Amino acid sequence: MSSTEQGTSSAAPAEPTTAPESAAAPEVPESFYYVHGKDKVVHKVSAGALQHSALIHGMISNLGYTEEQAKANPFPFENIDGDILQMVVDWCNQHKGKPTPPEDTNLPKQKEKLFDLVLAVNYLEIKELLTYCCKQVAMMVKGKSPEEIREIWMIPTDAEDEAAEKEAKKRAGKEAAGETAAAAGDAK
Amino acid sequence: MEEPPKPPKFGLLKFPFPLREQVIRNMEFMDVFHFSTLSKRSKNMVRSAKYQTYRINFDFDDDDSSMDHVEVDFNEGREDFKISLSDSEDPSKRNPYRLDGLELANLIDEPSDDYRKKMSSHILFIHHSKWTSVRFGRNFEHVNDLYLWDVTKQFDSVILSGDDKLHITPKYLQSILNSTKAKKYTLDFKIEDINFEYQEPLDCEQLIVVGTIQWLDTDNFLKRNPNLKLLQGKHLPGEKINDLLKQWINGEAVDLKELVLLKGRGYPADVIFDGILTMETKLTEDQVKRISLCWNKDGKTVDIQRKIDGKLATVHINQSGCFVSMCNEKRLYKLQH
Repeated sequence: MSSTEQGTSSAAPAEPTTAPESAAAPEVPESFYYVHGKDKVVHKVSAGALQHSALIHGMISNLGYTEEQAKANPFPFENIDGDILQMVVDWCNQHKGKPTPPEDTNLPKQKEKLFDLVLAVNYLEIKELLTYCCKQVAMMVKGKSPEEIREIWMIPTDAEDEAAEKEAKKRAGKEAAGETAAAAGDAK
Repeated sequence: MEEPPKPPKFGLLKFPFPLREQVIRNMEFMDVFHFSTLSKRSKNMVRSAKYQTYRINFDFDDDDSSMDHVEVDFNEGREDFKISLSDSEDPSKRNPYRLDGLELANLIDEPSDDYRKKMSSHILFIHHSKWTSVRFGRNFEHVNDLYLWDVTKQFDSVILSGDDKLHITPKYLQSILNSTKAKKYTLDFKIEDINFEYQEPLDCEQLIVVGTIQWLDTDNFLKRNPNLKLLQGKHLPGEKINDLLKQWINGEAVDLKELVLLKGRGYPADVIFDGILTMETKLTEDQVKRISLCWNKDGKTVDIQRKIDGKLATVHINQSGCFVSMCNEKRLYKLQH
């Protein structure tokens, strides 16, 4: 199992700008948590960076894990590809404690990656990144003709939708009939 | 047996509904329009996404029907869109500087006898607009046959006004007012029959008449228009204003906020307040000034009281006309803050 160390460098406390007369409040050491995706690669992320994710923030807010406990209990996100989770972790680290820029130029341009990223970000509830991503998806069809939009987003025609619906109904009917037959068999 | 086409392996439709809608809300206007023409499902998706527009205005030009258009405005510094809805399908008689509504309507896969109907209906269906309006800048010979009535008769605002003074017949005015339902009517015209009186309910909140309002029958006017909040016009006879004040005192149109009735040389106090109990105003001079933009130190300011609940209205008459402000708490609170 490998681990990444993004986010640790920014953990150093800033120097106070003025000399306080009373003793400075003791610095609270930054806590870290561990997450992994489908590929089981564990990422070490600071609590500050994870604040971007409403889902993870909610999960960790009352845990009070020690470093060892956190390490021993990484949060599993089996529904997220490793490379996608890496992108999310990178974004959270880059934007830790910073105002988010109006545009994010680092988002992937590759269609499949972007779609997977949107789903992951939506699941992790990272509101600002989701906004960027949705804008990026919208930009994929900017200035395109209807047929180009259909192709890019794979939008079925009415006829295709109707055929798919018919097929789904047929399948549901078959399944229901199968269940009835099975129940009748059980009753015998 | 032929297999039905397989659903897409990957695409926007794989997204959960809220995500699809967020993507749509981030799209440009024309992209949204194109997307909405792809299928019934995509059209409904745009509607569900509540793609916000500030205003949709149907504009019937002053004299050139080739300039007719629908305008979609965004109030966020974004570009507004004007789509030509010329009554001619001849390209030489269509405005080349606007988006071509005929071309766009051809993308909509629905039957229609008139492309303007199809286009207007589609725009209204897919967009959530804060304000929908229509402006009539010219006379129509057969206004009752207007294509728009088949699409909608309900607007936030109806404007009857052209660059030059619009000369209309009573029949035309009646047709417009009876065909539409709106919160606000802004009317600027000259009527041919000076004896004509409009007696039907308008059911609006604001009636702003730029010119003379003498064509309005004021008998039971507030009873006929219980939701009225603002009435503005010129040259209403003093006796009719007196009657309107009495209607308000007797409890009609409880939400009425303002009457702005203009007349050169003003109105005589004895006519306006005939048979009405007036009181010294409870407002300070400064408050009256702020309530009425037309305040004049030589004018007369009094309060009148509504019988049903004791609410006060301040009436100011001067050389410019008669100005009535219903002094509800909200208005006074705004004045004080």
